[in-house]
Order: sequence, then C-alpha cells, then structure tokens
Amino acid sequence: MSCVRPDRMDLYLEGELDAAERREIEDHLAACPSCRRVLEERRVIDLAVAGLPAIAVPPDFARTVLDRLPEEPRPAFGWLASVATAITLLLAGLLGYHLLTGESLAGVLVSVGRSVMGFFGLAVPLLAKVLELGKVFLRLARDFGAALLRGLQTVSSLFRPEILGLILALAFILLFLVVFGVRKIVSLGEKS
Amino acid sequence: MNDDSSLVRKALKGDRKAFEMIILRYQQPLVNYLGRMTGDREAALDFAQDIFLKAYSSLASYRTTFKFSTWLFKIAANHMIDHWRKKKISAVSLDQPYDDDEGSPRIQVEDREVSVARKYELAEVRARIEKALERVPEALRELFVLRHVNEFSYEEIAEIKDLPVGTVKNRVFQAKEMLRRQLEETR
Repeated sequence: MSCVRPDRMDLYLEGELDAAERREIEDHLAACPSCRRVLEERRVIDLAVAGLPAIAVPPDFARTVLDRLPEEPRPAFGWLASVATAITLLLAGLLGYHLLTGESLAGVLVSVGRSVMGFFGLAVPLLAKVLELGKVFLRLARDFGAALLRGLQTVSSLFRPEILGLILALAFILLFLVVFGVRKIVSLGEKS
Repeated sequence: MNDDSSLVRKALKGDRKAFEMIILRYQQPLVNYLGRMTGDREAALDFAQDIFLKAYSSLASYRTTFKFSTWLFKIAANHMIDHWRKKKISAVSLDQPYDDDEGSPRIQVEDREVSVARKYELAEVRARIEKALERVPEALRELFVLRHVNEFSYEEIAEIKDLPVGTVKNRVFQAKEMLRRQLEETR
C-alpha cells in the first residue's frame, strides 16, 4: 500500500472509517515511520482544537434571554389557523342551513351568491364597514383558532390516544344527535 | 423525562422554566461556536441571545424527528450568514472551490521531516490554533468548528448547512490543512 492520504488519516483519527479501511491503514502505519509521524502531528492538532478553552458565559445569561422573550411562542401557521377557522365556520353555516331547511347545497350557494352580489350592488358605501367587521371577525377567528389549538394540545397531552379517539367519537355522535334533533323539532313545527 | 422534545413541548405550553433549561443546556456550545466564528466574546453573547429568541419564536415549527441541537445550530448558521451579509464581509462563497470538492484533496504532505506536534506542547499549539483559526475563511472555519469544537457528526453538519456529506468532509479537511500550514509558518 502507498502512503496514507492525509484526508484518510483524518477520517481514521475521527473513527469514520470501516474496519477493513482501518486495518489497511494500521498495517501500513506499522511499516511506515513517516506516516506515523504525520498521523501524530494531525492527532495533536485534533486534541488541541478539542481542548480549546470554552468561552465564558455569564451566570445570568439565561435570565437575560428569558427577560427578552415575548409573552408566548408564536403558534406555527397562526394566519393559517385564522383562515381555516373562517372557512370551517362558513362551511358549517352552509351545512347547517342545508340540514335545517333541506335545500340543496348548490341552491344555498346560488342564493348566498345572489345575496352577496345584491349586497355589494346596493351597499357599496358600507363596504368599508364590512371590511372593518371582517377584520374583527378574522381576529376573533384567529383567537378562537389559537384557543382551539391550545385546547387540543392540552387535551392531547392529558389523554392517551385511545381515550382521545373515544372522546372524538362521542363528540361526533352528540353533534349528529343535536343537528338531527333540531331538524326534527323544526319539521314537527311545520306540520303542526 | 426532560429530553429536548419534552422541554420544547412544555415551552410551547408557556412553561418558561422549560425554555430556561434549553438555554442552559445549549448556551455553552452555542457561544463556543459563535465565539470561534466572530473572534469576539461580546458579539458571540449578543448573537447567542438573538438566536435563542429566534428559536423561541419559531419553536412550534421544530419537528421532533430532528435533533434539537441540529435545528438550533441551523438557526445559528443562518444568523451568521445574515451577519456576514450585513457586514459585507467577504465570506468565501460556498460555491467557490478551495480545491476540488469532488476529487481528492490536493494538499501536499511533502515536508514530512517537519513535525509541528513534536515541537510544541498542546497548550502552546492551542494558543496558536486560536489565532490561526481566525485566518481561515469563514465558510471553511465554520464547518471545522462544528466538527472539531462542537463535535457534530459529518451528517449533522451536512443537515445544518444543507451541503452534501462529501463536501463537508472535504472542507473540514481543507480547513485543517490551512491550520496546519499556518502553524508551520508561524513556528
């Protein structure tokens, strides 16, 4: 074997080579004083660098960072939670209307579309107010979304997955019972 | 259980004590890295504060499938890049080859009669390495520090710097060669 390349020597010193490569290098080192000297030289540099003195950190460093922290960590995709909540509320509204009145979803969408167009046609001056309200609504939705996320995080940390699954299933059953119960009451009212 | 993931979960729920434990766990390695990169203790401490604040703000984006230390040092490495950009320091471009990233290193070991190690005690070598490190270009020095001071694996450094493992190995080797040559020159 020819002399060991310095980059291989470094990987050898760092334990990055497999057993066969190590053995090959060790066999060569046993017979080559020049490579042994170079290896020793490189080992000293590694040891010296690993032993460089630590840079002193003041004892109150962590406290200083904590004092600069904002109130709480920003939730991931905070804006996305707002949008998702708004869309969920809109869909829930449409679905609720469909379930309560029995109107087709397409019909609901068309009538909502007409209403919106009519609204914009007739109440352009009120647009600014609507935007203001929208901002408030989004803020509320965002807060609601964040609270919901926090609540879910807390619940998920309190219960095991199987318990969580059971709770979710019960919640869905309860929701359906409430929706269909309301629908039944409305239809009874219509008959009488 | 107080591993990094559980500390992050607690910190996300508003537990500041948990984040304090994260700081206490990583302040020393982080300041060592920043100190070797800036050559200035005060700047290193300021940067470390900023990096912990950034980490806290984006804590929710941390995924427990990755090592927390790798995630934190990725923030630190990006912070250093921003710093060099702002200061317009001529940080050596990562695309600029020092030798040939792909091929075998061209560093020669011609002068094998001269042994740096044998002539100096470790302490003296350390003092000289400290100075010599400052003269190694940032892009090489950073990888060398992450490997030999912070003792990250080559794979972790590749993840921190978004570089192929082979490139990381090659650049760490080049940094060490630069150090070795400088030590020889200043004998």
